[in-house]
Amino acid sequence: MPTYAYILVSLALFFVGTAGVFLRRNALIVLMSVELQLAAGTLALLAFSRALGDQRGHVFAFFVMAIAAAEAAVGLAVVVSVFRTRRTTSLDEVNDLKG
Amino acid sequence: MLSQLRIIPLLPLLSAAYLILAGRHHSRRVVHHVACMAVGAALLVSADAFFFALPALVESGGLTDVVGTWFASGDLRVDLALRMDALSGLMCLVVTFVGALIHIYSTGYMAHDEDYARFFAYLNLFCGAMLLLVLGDSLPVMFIGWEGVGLCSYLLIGFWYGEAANASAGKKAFITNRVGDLGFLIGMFLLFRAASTFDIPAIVDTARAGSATLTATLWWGQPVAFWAALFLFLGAAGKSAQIPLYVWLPDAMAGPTPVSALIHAATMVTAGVYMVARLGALYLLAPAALAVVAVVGALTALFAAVIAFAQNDFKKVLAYSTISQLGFMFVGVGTGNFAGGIFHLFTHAFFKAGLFLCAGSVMHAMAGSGDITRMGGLCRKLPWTTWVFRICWLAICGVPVFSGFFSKDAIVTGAFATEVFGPHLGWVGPAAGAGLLAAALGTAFYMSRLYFLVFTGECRADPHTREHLHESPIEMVGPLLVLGLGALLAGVVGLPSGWPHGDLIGHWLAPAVGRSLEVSSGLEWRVMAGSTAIALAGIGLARLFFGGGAREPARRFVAALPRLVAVVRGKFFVDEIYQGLVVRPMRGLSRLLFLVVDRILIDRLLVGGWAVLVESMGRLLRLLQVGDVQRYLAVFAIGLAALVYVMARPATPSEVKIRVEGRNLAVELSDGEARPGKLDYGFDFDGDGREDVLGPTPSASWSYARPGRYRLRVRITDPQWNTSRTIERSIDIR
Repeated sequence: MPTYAYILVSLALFFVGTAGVFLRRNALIVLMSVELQLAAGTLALLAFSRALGDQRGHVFAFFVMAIAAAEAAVGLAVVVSVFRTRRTTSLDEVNDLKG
Repeated sequence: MLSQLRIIPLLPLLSAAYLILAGRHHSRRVVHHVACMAVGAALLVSADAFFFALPALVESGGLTDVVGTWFASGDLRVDLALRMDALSGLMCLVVTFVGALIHIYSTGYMAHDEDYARFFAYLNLFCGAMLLLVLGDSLPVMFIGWEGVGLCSYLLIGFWYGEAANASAGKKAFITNRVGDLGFLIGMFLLFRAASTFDIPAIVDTARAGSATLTATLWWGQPVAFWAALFLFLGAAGKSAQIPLYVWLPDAMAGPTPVSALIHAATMVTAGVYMVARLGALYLLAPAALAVVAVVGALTALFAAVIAFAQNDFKKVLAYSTISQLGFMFVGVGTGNFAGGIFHLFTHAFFKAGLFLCAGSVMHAMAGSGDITRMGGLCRKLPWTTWVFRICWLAICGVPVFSGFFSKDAIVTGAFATEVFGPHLGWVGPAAGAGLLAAALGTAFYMSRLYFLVFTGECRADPHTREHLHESPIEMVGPLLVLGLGALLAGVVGLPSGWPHGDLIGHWLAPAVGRSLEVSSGLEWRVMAGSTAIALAGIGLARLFFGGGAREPARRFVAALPRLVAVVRGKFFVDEIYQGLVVRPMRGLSRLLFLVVDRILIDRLLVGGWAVLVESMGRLLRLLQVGDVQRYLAVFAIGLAALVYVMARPATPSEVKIRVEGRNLAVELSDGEARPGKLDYGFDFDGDGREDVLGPTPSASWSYARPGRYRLRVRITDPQWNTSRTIERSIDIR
């Protein structure tokens, strides 16, 4: 498959993730959307890496996965903590910083 | 070491500082010992300097003490310098001597006051400031003292600030003095502009030399010297309570009586006379200014004496008497008879301080009341006070042998004999002299009225007060006796010049203020005889009216002319006129400024306006702080996109230069923004879509085969980001 096909898929993934981050109200879904964005980035890295024959892209992909795992852990902890204090995970209701 | 003049003002100033800071932790004993000893030591140091160091130096300008440079700017240098010459030495002695006596007197008079330490601190501060005023060698240093005594006057008039009347009397004194101070400042600056110095000896030398800088015409055909002298006299009129600025002095009697004696009779109020005498040479350059001084002095002497006829408060009578006597002094200095004016200042310090202290002693006995209609017959209860009062009374009336007789005559004869006014203003001297004789009659009358009403006849006080009448304690009577002795004998320093040991003070002061007037002995005898007759007539008239209490003639006089008496008792309603002409309009203006400028312009617009602006901006910016993490993210994403766009955007050429030479076309681009990394330029000259010249140079040329209209297209590519922008131009080739 040509590289652009991978890139198109990556782009689609990224936009789906972005839309999720911006539009969904549930903190868990938002976190999942962030994972989608990261996956899109990883896919683009792998595609370019293969197209250019440069292995650095692969290495990068592993780093991204590791960081995504850490981020998910922290993010979930935050969401759980928020849920414990206010019995909700809706981002619309977590707006204490409103000026 | 004792010749270091700075010690003299420093001692009382240090004591004042100590008493203000630590006074309330000490007992009354400690407080008055510190205060009295400071002034006593100042007296000793000045006496040492005056009697031992000064006589050798008096011809060459006296003792000087330069503490250091106060400030310097360009050509202007003002030293913090003190000078004791014949005149300032004499003043210094008077101030410290009377000051020391009154400090001692106050230990008795104020013995039961709560604020003992504060009182003595202020009194000391006053002495220090007054000594600085007297000894200051330049006008600015004198001005510190001038303001310092004004401040102390304010503080001490309002010493019992619990009563609103006292506090407002203090304010009245201070504010009235400020009007005069403005005159002092203007005069000072005029002098500086003309003579380029603030040093008093230098100014006096310039004036004595008749320098053209001082005689040059300034305004309305009058010389600089006239205007400077006139403005300085305004200052003097404020400080020395002359028309039109005398109104504060009667109110100043709200202060404790020792203060009235020291500040408002013996020393501070004479500062104006002293200043005019100090700058006498300047006044002699401007006879018109001298005439103003003399006329104002004579009018004040007469006017205040008339007001004193009908006052019923012991201290008020003495206050108007002080104003009147200051008028005498101003006639003295205003007729060029500086030694005469200072002589009267000298004797007046004794007898007026004595009179005030007697008033204090009487009021002490009368439980603080000063109403002379409720007194009478006090000579039996207060024998010492009565004797001192008698001496001082005869002195101020001008009865022969007593000190006031000689000093008053020195001024009156001087006024008749003076020639300083020249032909046009020659009438001023005799007119002022005649005015003074009339004022002397008034003086003798009102002072005798005071004496007869207070000390003779039956006591009119209520029984309770009558029972408590007592002579004052020794620390009050002692200073009284010393001052009484002074009032009796102080005249010997100024006997008429024809007599043995005559005119000592005139000879002494000659190096500082110039020679005394030559007076023919015939005139001298005539004036003496006349003024003695006037004094006796005044006393006799008063005895007829008031001997042993208000008598039939006095009652008939009041009944016959009730209007006149009411006007005089109302002090000619000058206070009310000032109230209407000055105070009310000023208050109205202040109120207007307060309401319009302060409330609306400053508070509402400037202060409030900025607050409203900032607040509304904050309100606006608050809208951005929605607290919703997703919106923040959206803004973040937009910002990031903008940032990427800006970073990746290729440079815009700021200029595209196209030169056509025949068929040749040269294009040159200049880089808009310097940025790292190279750009690639593709030039399409013929508009066929293919780039004819491609490369990193921003210029190219092309030769057209035939004329026509062509489309030029330049594409700029940034190879790093692979972004590009295109510029198009159409050109005509001929």
